[in-house]
Amino acid sequence: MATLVRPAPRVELTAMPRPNVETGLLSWIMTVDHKRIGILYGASAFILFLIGGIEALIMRMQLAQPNGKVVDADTFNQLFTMHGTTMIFLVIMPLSVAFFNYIVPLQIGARDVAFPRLNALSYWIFLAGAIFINLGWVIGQAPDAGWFGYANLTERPYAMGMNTDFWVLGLQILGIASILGSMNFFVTIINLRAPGMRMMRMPVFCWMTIVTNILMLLAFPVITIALTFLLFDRYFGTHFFVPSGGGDPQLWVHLFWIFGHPEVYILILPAMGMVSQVLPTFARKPLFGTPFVIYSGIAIAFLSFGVWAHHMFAQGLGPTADAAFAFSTMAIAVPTGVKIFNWIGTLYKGHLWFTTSMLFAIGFIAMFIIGGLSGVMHASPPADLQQNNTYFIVAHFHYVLFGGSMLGIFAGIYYWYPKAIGRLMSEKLGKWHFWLTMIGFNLTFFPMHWVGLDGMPRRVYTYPDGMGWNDYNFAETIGAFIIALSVLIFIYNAVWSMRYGQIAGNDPWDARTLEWSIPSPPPHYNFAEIPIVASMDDWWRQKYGAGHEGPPGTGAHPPAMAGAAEDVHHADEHAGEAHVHIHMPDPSYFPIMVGIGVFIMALGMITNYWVSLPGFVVVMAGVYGWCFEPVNAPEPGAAH
Amino acid sequence: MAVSAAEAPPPVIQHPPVAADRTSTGLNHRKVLMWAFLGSDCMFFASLISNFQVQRGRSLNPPYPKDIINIPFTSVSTFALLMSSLMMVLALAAIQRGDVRGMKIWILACAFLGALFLGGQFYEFTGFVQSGLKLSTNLFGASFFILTGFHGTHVTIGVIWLISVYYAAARGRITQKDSLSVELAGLYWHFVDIVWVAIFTIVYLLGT
Amino acid sequence: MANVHLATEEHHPPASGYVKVAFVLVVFTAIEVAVYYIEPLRVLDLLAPILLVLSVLKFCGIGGWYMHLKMDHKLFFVFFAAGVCLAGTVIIALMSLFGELTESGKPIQSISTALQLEAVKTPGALAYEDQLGGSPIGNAELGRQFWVLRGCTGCHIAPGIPSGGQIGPNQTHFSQRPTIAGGLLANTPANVELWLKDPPAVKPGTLMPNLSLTDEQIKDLTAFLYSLP
Repeated sequence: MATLVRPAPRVELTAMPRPNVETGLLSWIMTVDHKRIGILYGASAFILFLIGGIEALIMRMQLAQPNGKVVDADTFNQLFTMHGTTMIFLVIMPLSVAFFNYIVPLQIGARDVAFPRLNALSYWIFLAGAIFINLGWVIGQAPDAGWFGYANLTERPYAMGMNTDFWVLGLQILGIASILGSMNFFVTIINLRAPGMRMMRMPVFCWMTIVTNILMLLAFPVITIALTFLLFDRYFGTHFFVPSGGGDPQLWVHLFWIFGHPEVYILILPAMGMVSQVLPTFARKPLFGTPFVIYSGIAIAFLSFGVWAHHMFAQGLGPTADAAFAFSTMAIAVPTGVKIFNWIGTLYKGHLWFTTSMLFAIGFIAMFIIGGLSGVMHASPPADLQQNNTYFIVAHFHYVLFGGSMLGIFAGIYYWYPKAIGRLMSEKLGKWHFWLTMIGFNLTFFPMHWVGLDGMPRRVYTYPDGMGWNDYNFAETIGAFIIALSVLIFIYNAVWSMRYGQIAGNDPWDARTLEWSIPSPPPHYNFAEIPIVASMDDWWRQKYGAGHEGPPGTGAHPPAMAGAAEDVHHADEHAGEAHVHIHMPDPSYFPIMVGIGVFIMALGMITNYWVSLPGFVVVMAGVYGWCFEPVNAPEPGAAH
Repeated sequence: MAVSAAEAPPPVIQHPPVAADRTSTGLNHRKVLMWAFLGSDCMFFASLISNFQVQRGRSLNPPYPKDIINIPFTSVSTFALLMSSLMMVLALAAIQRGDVRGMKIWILACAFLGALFLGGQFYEFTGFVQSGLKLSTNLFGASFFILTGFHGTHVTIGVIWLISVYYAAARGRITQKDSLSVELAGLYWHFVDIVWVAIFTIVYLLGT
Repeated sequence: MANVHLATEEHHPPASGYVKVAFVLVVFTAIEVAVYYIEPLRVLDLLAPILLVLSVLKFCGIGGWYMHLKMDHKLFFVFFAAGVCLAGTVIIALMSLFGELTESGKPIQSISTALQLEAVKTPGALAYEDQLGGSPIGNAELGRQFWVLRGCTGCHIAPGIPSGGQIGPNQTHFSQRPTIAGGLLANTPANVELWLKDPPAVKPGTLMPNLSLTDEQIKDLTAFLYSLP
């Protein structure tokens, strides 16, 4: 039987030993376990999803009728800014990271990520940023210059309040969290794959993870610098983006979108990866053209750095630049299309099992196609001149981000919830969730294509009567409330299933990848023994032998979802138990300490610079404590 | 609460357990991390240098670069930083041979030259400020100070790191088998030097 | 912190090898500084290529030998090269989008500005210039270029110029207006020049700041304003 061994710590430079808690609130605060950190990310992101959703509902109430009086223009500015910033940075990204955290080590056959404490730090810094950026609401000065904060609207004297300061500093903090996390996952996937798991045998979700993290590594520095310039303009009197000082507002726009475009691929690639795992499982067929799905992901990431100025077609870049970026934007549709055809190919002639997860995955394909089509329409600069800054754009990005990323993420939640919790979610409630989402979502966002082309601008807090937009807006508001209802059903399902859901066992879906070979929920150490991998979808091979990838139904039909905990598919093996020492990293105080220090430093920037000083001290103390705290055991090259 | 699977008995071990220290590539985690970080850091400096290039010639008022940049002085600082890289790599070579004392000497020399570089920067900046070039004076001031300031911060962190390595070695915590610690500090330090190569050329030599 | 080299470390060059590399780096730097002072090279536009080539060589020297990229696992080279290549691409892309790769000697302007200037050669302006033959007031064409470059469109709309703000008055039919400065001054070239020199001095509380314009710029702007249809 495997035991967890904690050898006595060596005498170190500090007297403080590592904490040794396994239960209770403190254990969550000091955890370095990737599964717990994944749950922390997921839970936080979901709460922020509700906040962002409420912001959206208030906007929709304001827009339900012409000359609405629900909120004033100023508040509306704050609402759309925070809704966008929240959904992008505080919901979709951390939900994706939640899955990276929980699933990637399980899929590559590892016991944790490469740097567990760094992983925890990324979470705490993320939380600090999330709280910081929402602090504005508390004083009624939430960020209000749009989620992409164009200069020089964000400069003094146009943005005199603290709104933009919350935004700039909050995003800086979130950027740090993202960069730290992406370095961690990068090393994890490069270095901690099980023996025999060559890159091309790695699950597609892990491929999309590493591609996303490379994008984060390379794109976030650009926004960090742009925000630094803006910070200096606002605080230290520079004129990077201020024309009267010789600066150029367009520089902000370029720098922002050089980050911003890879960012939207960061938002969609993880969901694409999840869907690439869900579809084969429930089609009872391997993913069609797996190498092409992988190569397309890489191509998309590569090209994503070359298309940014398609967000700037209305800025007067000139015909040469417009044409070049139009070309590259249309080019990037090609690998995206390849993926879509591969997913459809996976479904074709599959033995389809319509679980909720599968429904969401299919919904993802359909909605993403619609969003992609409107995207290709934007790729043409002349067409974009009409569409830009109208609701047509709003329709496009909601189709790809909600209909795409969020539906993909829901597919992932329904798929992997049994693994994390040990119980299945209710299929009945799940289907209600799905269909209400589809109805509500399409009712909300499809009419926006029309009103947009009809000329309704985005980010307007109201519109006059007699434009012909009234009915559409009213319908959109109804749709928004239907979405809200569906989310409530989901919450109920998730909570109810924790207690009353059918016990899942190791492998309720008869799936293909390694995470299904271990118990649900996984033990602290994930794998009692690190598997030796011989092919892609190695768990399927272990169950059914090589060469059983053919037509569906070959000896593999959906297992009766019997309540009995399914055993691992190895033979009864209680004979010959070996005594395995598994060293797992101990919890640590220092990640949360550094996170708190970062938060205080940011607070100092907007209140009184002297406040930043203790924040800095806390950060430095945390970093030094971290460097010198006792490691479990001297393990070269392994996590510590 | 989640169903806690009583940690199920693991399957029988069908092959020797995988060594706890193996990595898929055979490369050390921290080294891979450092290179990933350096790749990312390239983009930081790319944004700063792009800004500098884009803002060239657009300052609305003096002092302009040619009025204020002192090539001979900066050449000396550049030389100091270049030599510090040599010290660094000699320190690494020493520790890889097991020569801890040699490593300590070279790394201290490296830190000293780095500090000399920083001193030169500090002197240069105060001179500029006295000549009327501050952050808020004009675009050149803003772009110049933020780029070189960012670089200088990197150097400062590097010097602190090097001194920490020296300190750890003095306490006997770094021996031949720990040469990776020195190597990682070295990678960071050489990167900082490489960035200065770019800055010296673009900002100083080509900027005037 | 105990750790072990997991990769089989490739053969390390002896210390003397590093010193040789250092020597080469110093020589290259000396050449760079020397080249900087050689005027003919600057005139021939050779300064930038020489310096850039030498810098790249130094870059590769430090990266290849000091950072051991030559001797280490290829993967590290791939990671670093990806970052460097992307960095270089971003720098070049931004420079070209902002017109920094245009011929040397031309005033630096972004492509969009250059195109705007092409687009706004109004018949009125050209006729005015023709009439006055390089007017005693100033050069309207230069005035229009300066209007765009200096960012006057941030607050003002002027006919024939694609974009403009609405903070200050619209300058259409400027020459036909009886007064300027919100009614404070009669509309004469001298008064326009007075206003442009220091608006807050003429009308305290005005939103238009003192832009520190030279007399030459003021004359050209005045000519431009009077040329507007």
